[in-house]
Order: sequence, then structure tokens, then C-alpha cells
Amino acid sequence: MATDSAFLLRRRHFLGLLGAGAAAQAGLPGLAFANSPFADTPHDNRLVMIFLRGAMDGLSAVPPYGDPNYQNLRGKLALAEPGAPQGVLPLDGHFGLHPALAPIHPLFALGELAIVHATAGGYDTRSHFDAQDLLEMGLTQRRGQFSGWLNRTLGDIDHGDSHARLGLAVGGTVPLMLRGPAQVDSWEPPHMRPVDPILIDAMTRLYAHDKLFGAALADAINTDSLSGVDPMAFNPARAQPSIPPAASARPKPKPGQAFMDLMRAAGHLLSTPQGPRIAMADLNGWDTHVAQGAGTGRLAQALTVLANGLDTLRTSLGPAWRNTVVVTVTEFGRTAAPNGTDGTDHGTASATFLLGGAVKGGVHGDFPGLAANALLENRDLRMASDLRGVMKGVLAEHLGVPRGHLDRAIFPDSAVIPPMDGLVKV
Amino acid sequence: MNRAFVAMTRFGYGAGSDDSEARAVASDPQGWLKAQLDHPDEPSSLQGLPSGADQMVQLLDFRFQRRQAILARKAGGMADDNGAAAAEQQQASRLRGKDVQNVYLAEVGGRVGAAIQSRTPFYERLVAFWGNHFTVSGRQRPEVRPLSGSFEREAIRPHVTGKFHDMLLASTRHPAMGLFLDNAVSVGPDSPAGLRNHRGVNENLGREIMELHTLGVDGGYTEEDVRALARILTGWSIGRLNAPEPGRFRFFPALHEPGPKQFLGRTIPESGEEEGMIALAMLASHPSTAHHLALQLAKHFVADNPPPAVVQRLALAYMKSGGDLGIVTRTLVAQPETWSQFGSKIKTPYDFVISSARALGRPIEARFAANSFNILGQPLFGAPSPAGWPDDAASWTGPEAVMLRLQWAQAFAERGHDETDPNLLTQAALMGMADAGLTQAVARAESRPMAVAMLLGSPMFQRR
Repeated sequence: MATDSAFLLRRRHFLGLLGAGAAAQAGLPGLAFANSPFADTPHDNRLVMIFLRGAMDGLSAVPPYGDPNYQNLRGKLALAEPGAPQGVLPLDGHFGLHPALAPIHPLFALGELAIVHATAGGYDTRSHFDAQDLLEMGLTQRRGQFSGWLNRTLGDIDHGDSHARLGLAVGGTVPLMLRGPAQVDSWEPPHMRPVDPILIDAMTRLYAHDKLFGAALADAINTDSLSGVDPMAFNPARAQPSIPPAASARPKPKPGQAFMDLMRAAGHLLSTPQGPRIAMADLNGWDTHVAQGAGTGRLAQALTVLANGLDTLRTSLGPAWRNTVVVTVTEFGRTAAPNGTDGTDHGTASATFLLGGAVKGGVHGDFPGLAANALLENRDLRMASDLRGVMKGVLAEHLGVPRGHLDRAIFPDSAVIPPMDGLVKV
Repeated sequence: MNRAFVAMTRFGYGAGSDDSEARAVASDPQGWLKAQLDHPDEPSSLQGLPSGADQMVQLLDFRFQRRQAILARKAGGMADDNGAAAAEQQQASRLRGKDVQNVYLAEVGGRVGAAIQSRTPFYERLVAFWGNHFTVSGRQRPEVRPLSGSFEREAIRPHVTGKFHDMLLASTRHPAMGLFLDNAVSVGPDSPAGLRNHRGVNENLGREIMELHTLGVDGGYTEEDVRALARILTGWSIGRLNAPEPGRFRFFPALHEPGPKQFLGRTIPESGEEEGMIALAMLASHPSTAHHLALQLAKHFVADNPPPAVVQRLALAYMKSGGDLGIVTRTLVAQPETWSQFGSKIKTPYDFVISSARALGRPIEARFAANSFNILGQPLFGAPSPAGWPDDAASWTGPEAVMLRLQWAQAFAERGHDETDPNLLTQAALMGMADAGLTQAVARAESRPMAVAMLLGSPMFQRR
């Protein structure tokens, strides 16, 4: 079991201090809030944001199998009904959960898993970079250099006499959502993680015309996939018993292990009495243009990694889970119908998960449906709930951030978007 | 092939995001390279680093203290506080280890900083090349660890565009080399010290000078020549703590093997330190040396198997100029083959890390740099043998090596919080040479770090 020393915090400056190392601690306990117009907020509530980068297919993560158009529209990507082999896990009779999300499925019955389907950022771009930036800045249009909305939230929350900073980034970087004038802590894993499967795919394509690198990469992938072979197994297809290539010095980690390690660190740090309370992590692997798969395949693998990570976070938080809300966001969804390569292209609305002891479980928000006239531009699931509304609901009820501030500072020019009620146990 | 790109990538350490630099190069790529030979940057990151003499004195002092402690323990008798003395010794060793590590990291930071920031990256590459030629490595000899950086700064850097003979002399005399290849403790058997203490010659430096530094393994020398050179160089050692110049080169007549020596077909009369000067001058002007150095340069700058014509031209330039590396380097720059064979060379891990930092416009801290080089299999100043690092493709592109590069690219891409558009970054780093496949992949990547990782892992970026 990891000890405290394995989770050393690092301190970093942002916005204007390039590449700086450790910084002096801000150490202003409670000072900013002595005359604050904001309501007192218990500083035991935790918020964890997980950015699913690459555009998660919400219609696969939370299949609306009860929709009459679902099977037809989704074709090869459609999942079977509850009870069928690799069928969805039941939620409320209309929506199901992808079978790969089994580790978090029990939370629904416990009332600790909420789903808001058909969510989007409210912007009008299908570029990964642009959409991610806008979502993280809390905007629908660029305004030059801008801080992350989560960083802007940090100033509103009373962190009491804590020595640690309120905000925490886990992973190799501090995502834009957490960057801004408020300093945050960060935790970096001690080892390089394995190359993400999507990057391996991309590099294989890029090395297609380079014999040297192509062969080397193909060899490396082959070695990895063979490393589970029993050295004594006799392969009848060959004259000799098959002998796997020499194993690497380090044992090959399980897929998703790196993300689980991040979540374990986050949970541990968030549960410490004087520790951070608002954390964020990234998870790649969602851009499933090719061979997305249905019950199994590329997307299922990504969902497995996510579910195992979320489960690790829950156990690692311990009793603090009771006061926690975890939110997964993604920059946009994907096309309702498959494309020509058994995958999906960039869409509009996706699904948002909220998990935690402080969450009010259930399926929230409207669902526009998959009828032809309900799709946006005849291709995408329409947005029914702006992500900013979802986050406003969480920030207001879970962290006590006042409405005016949410409408103007956290999500500028968003007064028309009301906070979504009922996501959080009060 | 865009000549500016070749100039920056093959001769330098890659393009950065600085438009003005790219434009300056584009207007006259060859001129840009030659100008660097005339006016090399003095990297600020190399200021304030300890000298070789300082580090040598620290080593000598540490050894002296340790000897004193051992003697004191022996003199103190058996029934003393074994525990306390041993603990004190351990503590001293630990502190020394920390000091050494700190100096090593400072040198890594200096070297990496210089390569990344320099406006004369061709010069930096040449320093690294010749430093590798005269490798002084702390890999097998930990006491050498804090000395490699100062060796390169003092014996190599000043001579990169000067006479090879001067570089050879500076290298052979530098205390780091004397320590690394054992010449500091090599004693002529018939010298006063040899007769008194029954110590003998160590052939390590003599052999490596001929095999690696000058003639090359097929350069036409015999085992007799190796022995002769070793005896010639006895006495070329390091000033001790009580010397007038501790830690610096010092010739000790008492260690020097008397008598004339037969070396490469010539009789060198007994003349103390002068014998070594004669021998090194012979080696520096030898045609085999010209050929050996020409081959090494061509291998580094043209192709793993360079065209013999290129090697010959470089060797000729060497001989005709009396071993002037400035002239030889200019000749290299003028070879059409260095410009036409772009992509035939693979970046070493060092090249890869430095050019990644330049491409992204990100500095790299010493510790991260050192860890990166270690992970990628090329610890800085840590070559496994005096032969230094190879730079042929086969040495660096095994399956695990390529996968590690991608892992590193992924990790490095995620580390910074750069908001530059990866498409613009790709255009700048590859100076417009990105092919359609890469351009498309970067544009469609699912996150900025992933786009950057693709750029760094791409064949165009991995090759030079």
C-alpha cells in the first residue's frame, strides 16, 4: 500500500512563470474569505473533474436502448438489451450502462451515480483542440488568453487553515481547466506510463512507409502481446515449443493501471485532513473513428479503464467518498450512426457521469431522442443540457458558489443558463 | 529538400518556434553554418561550473581523508569504537556521493541548456561529437563522474575549429583523461618509482589514443607501438594536493620510463616530457589519423555507411591543412552528400531530447534531462566504454528503444502546458516539411499532448 511519501505534492506557478520549479506556498488560510460576500461553505466537500479527451461516444456509454430508433440508427455499434450476451446493464428501463462500466454499475442502485445525457459545451466547433479549450475556459467563443473555470472557482471556496493548496492536478500536467491565478498543487506519477493505444495506432500509421521504425514498432507490439505466453507451452503449429521473446526488465503493467494509479493518488490526497479538495485528471483514448466496437473493442477498452479508475478513486477516498462529487466531461459527442470504418465521427452531445456519496443518483435532464427530425444536422444527438448548467448545479449546491458569480465570473455571459437542480444531495 | 531544414536538423539540433532564426537560416544555410564556426556562442549555462582542477582536488582530498581515517583506526588499536569509525566513514562516503551527484547534475544542466539555447547549435553538435570521440565516462569509473563535463569544456570545446593536434594534447594532458584511462598511475618499470615500488606501466591510454583517438584500429600500428607509447607517456600525471598546481597536469620525472623508444618506425631519444609531445605530433599528422577522423565525421554527418569519396575529400583536407578542424569542417559543410542524404541518420536519444525541447520551446531541468537520457539508454557522460556512443541506426532502433521513445514523447508532450496550436508547432518544427499523413494526424489528434507526441515520434522528427 502506498505511503504518504509516495504521494509527494509539487507546487507550480502558472500563467506567466514558464517552466518554473517549486514555488513558495501561498499559505493564506481563510484570509481571502474573512470579508467575503460568499456564503460559508464546509470545506470538506470534494470535487473531482475527469476530462475524457477525444470525445466520448455518449450513446455507447449510456445506450438509450429504449429509444425505438436506437438499434436501426446505431447498426453495428448497437448494444444488446439487458440480459442478452454483452447486453447493457439496466438503469431505468430506457437507458442502460455499457457492460464495460460494470464496476460502477452498483452505484446506480445505491443512488450514487447520476447521468445527464445529451450534454454539450454550447460551442459550435468539432475541433478537439478548440472544443477542449472552450470547455476548460468555460466559454463558447475564444477571448485570447483565458484562465480555466475550475481555477476561477478555487477563489470562492473556503479552504480553512489547510497547509495544502485547494486545487490538485494529478498526472503529468496541469490541465487548462485548472490553470489561472490561483496556484494549485500537482502530483506526478514516478514512472512513464505505457503508450496509449490510440497513440500506438497513430504511430503505426505514421510509420507505414518507414521500414526501420515500422518494423521496430510492430516488433515491440508483438512482444508485448506475447509476453503472457506460457514459456513451456507447446505450439503444435511449429516444430519447436514456442518461446516468448525475452521479457523486459520491468513487468508489463495492466492496461488502465496508470489511470488507476492516478486515481489512487487523487483519492489518497483528497482524503487527507488538511489536503486538497478539488482535483482534476485527464483520460485519453476516446476518439473512436475506426473500429469502435460495441460490447467489446476499442471503446469498451477505454470504458473499462475509466470504470476501474473510478472504482479505485472511490475506494481510495474512503469515508471522504460521502462528501465527494466526481464529474466526467468530454469535449463533444459522436455521430449517432456509424461511419464507413465502423466507428463514429465528431458529434455534438454526449453523456456526463456524476458519481459520489454526495450525488443524487438517477438519470437527469431531457433526452431529445434519436428520431430523424430530432437529430442535429441529421447526424448528431442534440444538446438538451448545457454542461455549464450541470456544473453550475454542482458548484452551487455542493460547494456553495453563489449564482451571480457562476453567471459572470466562472462561466462568463451565461446568465441564461440556469443551474441544474437536484444533482447533489443537500 | 529544404536546405534550411537540413542545416538546422542535420547540422544543428532542430528548428525551434523562432521565426526569425528560421528566416536567417533560409537565406543562406551554408553561410549560417560557417558563421557559427567563426563566432560560436558562449553559452551562459556553462558559466560558473567547477573546473576540472577543482573537482580533481576534491577527489584527491576525499581519498586523502579516507586514507588518514584508515591509518588512524589502525594506529588506534583493535579494541576501539569500530562502530563509530565505520559510521563516520559511511557518512563521509554518503556526503561525497551527494556532492558528486550535484556536480553531475549541474554539468548535465549546463550541457543541455547550451544545446537548447545556443544560436550556434552546429558548434554545440561539434563539441558533442568531439567530446564523444575523446570519451571520458563515469559509467564504469564513478570517480570520473564529476569530471566529464569540465573535461569537455576545457579540453574539447576550445579546439573544435582549431588544430586537432591541440585537442589531442589537451585531452591527453587533462586530469580527467589521466584518471579515466589510468595513465595517472602508470609507472615506468625502470623509472626511480618503478624500481622502488615495483609498479609498472598501464597501457590503457596508450592503446586508446591510437585505436580510438587517432590512427584507428586498422591504422597500421603494432602491439610494440602500443607499449612504446605507454612508456613514452609515463610520468604524464596529476599534481597532488601538495603540488604547486594541485589537480592539474604535471609531469613526474620519477615515474617516467628511461631510455629511447621505438615508435611507429622512428626512434625517439630519451627526453622526458618531450617524448610525449613528439609522439602526439606524429599521431596528429599521420595519414591514418586523417582517414580515421574523416570517416568518423562522415558517419556522423552523412550516413552510417558514407560514400568513400566524401571520406577521402575530408581526409585530404585534413592532411593539406595540417590537421585544421576548422578547414575540415568547412569542407564537410560543402559536400553535396551532407545535404542530399537527409533522413539517412537517426537521432540519438540525446539528439531526440534536445531537438524536442527546441521544437516545443521548452527548457528542461537537469534532473529530468538526466532521467530521460538514462531511460532512453544514453546516460549523459556515461558511455559504456572509451569508444563512446555509436550513432548508427541499428544501435538505437530496436523494438524496445522505439517504444521507449514514444513513451518519452508522450510524457514530455504532457508535461508542459503549452497552448500553441500543434498544427503551427508541426509546421515550425519541421519547417514546412511535414508530409500529408503527419499534418492530418496532428490536426485530428484527440488532444494537444497527443498531437505533440505524434510530431515528436514521427519519422521526419526521428531522422536527420
